[in-house]
Amino acid sequence: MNKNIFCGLVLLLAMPASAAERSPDDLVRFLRNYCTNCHGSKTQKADRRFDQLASELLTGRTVNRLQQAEQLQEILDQLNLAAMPPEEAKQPGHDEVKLIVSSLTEMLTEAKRAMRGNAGKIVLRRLNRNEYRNTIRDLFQLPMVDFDPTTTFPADDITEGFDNVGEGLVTSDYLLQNYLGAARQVADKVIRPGPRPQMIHYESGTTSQSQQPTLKLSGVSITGSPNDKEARQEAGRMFIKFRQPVGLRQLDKRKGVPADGEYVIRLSAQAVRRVSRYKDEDLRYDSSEPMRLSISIDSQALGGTAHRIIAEYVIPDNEVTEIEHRVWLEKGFTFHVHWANGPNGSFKRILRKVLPKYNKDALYPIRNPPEMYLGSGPELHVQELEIEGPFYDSWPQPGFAKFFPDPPEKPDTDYLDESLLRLANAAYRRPVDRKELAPYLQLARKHFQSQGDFWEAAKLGTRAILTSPNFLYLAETQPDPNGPSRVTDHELATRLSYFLWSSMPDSELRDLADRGALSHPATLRQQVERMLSDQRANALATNFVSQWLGLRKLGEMPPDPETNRAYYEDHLEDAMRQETNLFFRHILEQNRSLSEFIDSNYTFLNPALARHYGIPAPTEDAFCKTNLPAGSHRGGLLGHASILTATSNGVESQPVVRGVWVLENLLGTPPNPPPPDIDPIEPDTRGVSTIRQLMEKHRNNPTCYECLRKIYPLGLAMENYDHVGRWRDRYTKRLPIDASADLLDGTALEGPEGIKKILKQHPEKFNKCLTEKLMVYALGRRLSFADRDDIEHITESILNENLGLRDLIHQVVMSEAFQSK
Amino acid sequence: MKPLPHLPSLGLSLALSFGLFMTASQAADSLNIILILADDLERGSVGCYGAKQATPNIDQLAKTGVRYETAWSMPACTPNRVTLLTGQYPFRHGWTQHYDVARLGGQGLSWQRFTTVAKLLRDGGYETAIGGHWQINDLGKQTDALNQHGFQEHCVWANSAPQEIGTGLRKRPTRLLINGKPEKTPNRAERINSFLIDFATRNRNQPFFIYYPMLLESVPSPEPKRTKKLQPLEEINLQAARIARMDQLIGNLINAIDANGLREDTMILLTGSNISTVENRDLERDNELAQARATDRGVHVPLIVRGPMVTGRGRVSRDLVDFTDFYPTLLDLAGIKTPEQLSLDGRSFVPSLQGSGDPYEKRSWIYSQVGAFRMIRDWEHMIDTNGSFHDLLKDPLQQNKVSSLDKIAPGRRQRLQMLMDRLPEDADSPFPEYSQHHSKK
Repeated sequence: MNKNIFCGLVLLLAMPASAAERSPDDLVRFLRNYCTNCHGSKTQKADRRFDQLASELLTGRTVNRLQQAEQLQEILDQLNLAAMPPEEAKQPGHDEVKLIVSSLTEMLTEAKRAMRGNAGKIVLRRLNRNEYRNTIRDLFQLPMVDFDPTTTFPADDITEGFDNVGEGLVTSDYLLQNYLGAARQVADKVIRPGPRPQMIHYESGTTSQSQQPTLKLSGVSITGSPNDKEARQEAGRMFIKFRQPVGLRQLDKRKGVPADGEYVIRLSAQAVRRVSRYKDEDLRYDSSEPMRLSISIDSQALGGTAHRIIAEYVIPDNEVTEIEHRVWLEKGFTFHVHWANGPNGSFKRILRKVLPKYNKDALYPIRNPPEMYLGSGPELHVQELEIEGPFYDSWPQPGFAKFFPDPPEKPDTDYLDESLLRLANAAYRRPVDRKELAPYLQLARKHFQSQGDFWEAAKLGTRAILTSPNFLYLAETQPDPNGPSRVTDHELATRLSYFLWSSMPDSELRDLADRGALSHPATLRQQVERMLSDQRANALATNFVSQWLGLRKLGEMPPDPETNRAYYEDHLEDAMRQETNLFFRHILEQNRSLSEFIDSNYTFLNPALARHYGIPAPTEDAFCKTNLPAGSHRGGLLGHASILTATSNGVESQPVVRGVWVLENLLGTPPNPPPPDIDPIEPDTRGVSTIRQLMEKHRNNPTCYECLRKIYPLGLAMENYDHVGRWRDRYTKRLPIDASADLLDGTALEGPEGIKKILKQHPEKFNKCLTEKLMVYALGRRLSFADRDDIEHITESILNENLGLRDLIHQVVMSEAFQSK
Repeated sequence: MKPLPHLPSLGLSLALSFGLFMTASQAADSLNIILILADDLERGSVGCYGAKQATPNIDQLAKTGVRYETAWSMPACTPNRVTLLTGQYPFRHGWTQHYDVARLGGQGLSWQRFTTVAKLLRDGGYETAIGGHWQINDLGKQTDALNQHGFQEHCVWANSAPQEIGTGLRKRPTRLLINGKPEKTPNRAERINSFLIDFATRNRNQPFFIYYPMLLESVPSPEPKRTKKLQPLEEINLQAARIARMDQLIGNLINAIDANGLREDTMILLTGSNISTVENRDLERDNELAQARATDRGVHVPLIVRGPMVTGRGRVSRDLVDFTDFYPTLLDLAGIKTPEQLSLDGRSFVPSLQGSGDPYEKRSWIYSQVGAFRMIRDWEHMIDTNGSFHDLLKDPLQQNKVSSLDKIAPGRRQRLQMLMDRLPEDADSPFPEYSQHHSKK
């Protein structure tokens, strides 16, 4: 693959001589005069050395031509920015710089032109975990909510900030084994011939004669035949939040539902004594909010990881509420109902330490007779629990019928071949002929002939197809070295769908590709529009945004539950993530200007998050677009608690991490990683009370300070946000926060507004950064020197034509890099 | 209708629940109260508690009212009655042992020292009557005793001479004292029954209170004249006949109430005791028996309540009730505020009658005592002063020790012990003769 690039670079080498009358000598002299003192053989500040470059240029013997071009480009950038040489060093004359700049520019333009056309790289990348899962979902139309064959897959490596970059997606023996296992699971799940599964209908509560509710989440009804053990068990349910949920005994005994399908769960519930004599703080419970009941599903076979809350309902006080919930359940799953906002913490504690405080006849601190409390605390009663199903829209299931339509009474090998061809055709995302698939067909056939079990043979064939490289890899054909290097229509459809959906092309894309109509710009534009409006485009928001902004870190260092209760009780982590997600989707859907990422006068809040921000809450208990009041310190990505929390360590804010974050994700100028050979030096931090003072200590260590001085000002300007993104004016009572800082070029920064100001002054920096990130994600590879033109072109049009985010995505799709290999 | 103290327990009601507020307002309409204390009516002889023998009238009462699974009396006869009428435990009123005032002499229950529930009801505007066996005053000598204790009318056993009791009731015509006048009658139980029915009928337009301490007596007419000892089977048959007769008498009274249209205005409380004062005439044996009865089984009595205040027809309640609870309950039903100087040990079970689920309105332990012997229980476990501790659900006959593997039991035992330790020393004996008699042993 790399051969192609090098071909282009041969020209680059020839270029300096041919393109300009200026010899490389000028450049070499310039480098030696002004650069190699710091970036030379003795010292390599910022990990750069140009002494080798100089000698290479002089001798014409180039080791790595691409690297050379990139180094030259970097030098040009620094000169253009007037960032180098640094103030304190020897300065070149104005004319001298001008000369070198024009010389470098010409050299590079020539090189790029030479590389145009065949500068791309064939991307051979495998599906990452996410894409695999989504592809299986769309290929077989499975509701992949609780069925996930990829749970044991190893996590995908992150390259260039994204987990869909081919270079990082290595394959291991372990992963291959997992592919085999996953394929088996999928084949067993999908290939379901035969009659529709039997319906089940389990219920409890209605058969009982007594008027008393038979199931209670708490409390107990003592009926004619007192069974103390039962009573005590019932009593154990009092105040319980999660530990003793209520379920259907028939279902639990039978190890869950008998078949995959849609089930209807019905129940009636009643909130009793929401406010009781017990103090809220004793029960660790909030009596001011209505009781909520949640339904969870879990599977004994899969254990804790399968546990999931599928619904939550508000239960009004003292009136019986009927609930009906439809849910897709995988075989073996059962459901339970919980009191979502019931008293918290240990039931033992409540029983032994809380309840006895209220009754003078109780002994403290032991478990007193449950009858002493039954009927005194808040209770959530559940009655008439029922489940019915499975229901299907159609049988056989569409994912099966698509590839195995109308199976004959005694299916033969021809039917087997045809079915597997149909499957491979879809799974490979391109037309497949019988010849190519012959080994797979042969395999299935043999099995059928020897074992005589058609459906086992079909499963074997399916497994073989699902473990084929053609399925697992987004393979593209080698371009004709002399011909055009455009991607084929099928390849384009695949690139497009994995970019926008993280999944395989749907039937419409596939049809267009089959007809060869996709590459037509108007069609392509219309398809991109359609895809962005599709539900599956959420994948772009979740996968791209969370990786671009580093939100996957959110939750890795969660704050202390004791001192950050609201964070857990209000599920702020999810809310934060949701805010950023909705914000991105809003900008995408409305094609808003990219500048809104920097600063906006709105954001998306639910009441909990609004409380967290200290902003008047929306009345509804849901996320909605909220206009920000003046002085709210929010607006733009910098005010999002998700980012601010992800860049903190759960205890305090981390200005260095935040500074790096801004440089990396908004400005697109990531600082160099700390040199590997340097031991972390702990400066003498005695007498330090603020993080600012701590950083001043670092100033004394020049090795660190070289990089850190770029980072500090940005980080310190964001110090007004604490470790969970709350606004603060002081660290402690006596320690106010100073959010001012000076940038390297002497610009004064004042708080986050200051950063926004700088970003707004140079919108091209952010635009370029976002474009680059989007390109990496779209192409699934590192950007190369040759992609710069595309990026520059797009960045320019964003500024000139005032393009929105949707336009940007169109631009990326239309770019040379996206459409060629 | 007499003017009645209006809503005296309003303050209390507000402090409690809405349900209790209903109590107060209904009390303004003044419920009639009938308290039946049937001697020898143990749970084992009542159909609705699982006896083989049907007791149709009592069973019907339970079907239309609420039946309590866990009610405790005192093991001995006189302490039981004094506790019922004074609302105090034996350690407080001093009548810790059985004592027959008529035979052994002494002051009996002092009306200067004790205010019976009947007195408070009468003062609260009720017409009050007693029909049955009083036993705690010598009515021959203290002719005004019943009046002093709050009963305007009475139809009670005339205090019989010791020899009369000793020789048995079957041969002699028995004597009753009806509103101060002696009367001989062959069918004493029926006479009392019809007296009370007459009383209720006469007073149907005003609130009345009937205290009906019944005695389980043999049916008089087909009386076996033989003097030889009864065979076990005959004993059983005889007992069955007695139960049937009692059931019939109770039925008569209930039917009369219903026939007079008082069903919705009358609370009927039926309880029993496992003590027969008729058959065990030997006083010494009486005390021994009382000691022997000092077990859960010996004091575990039936309790059935029917009336307008009861919610849930045919409900069975596991709420705890003992004999001190009747006093505050009757006051509560009548809407009479408890006088402040009165010290009561029990607690009204009106919330329980109304089906309240709030455990804070109910007892969490019940207690019984005879002599120095004390016992206390909750819903499952009991301890006594002999140091025994039992799980009554697993071991109702108190034959086994609680398993050491039972993790719950130690805590329960500790709690019961804590409650037991809180109870005060026994008060002085009520009058000199009482202490002399018991110290002789």
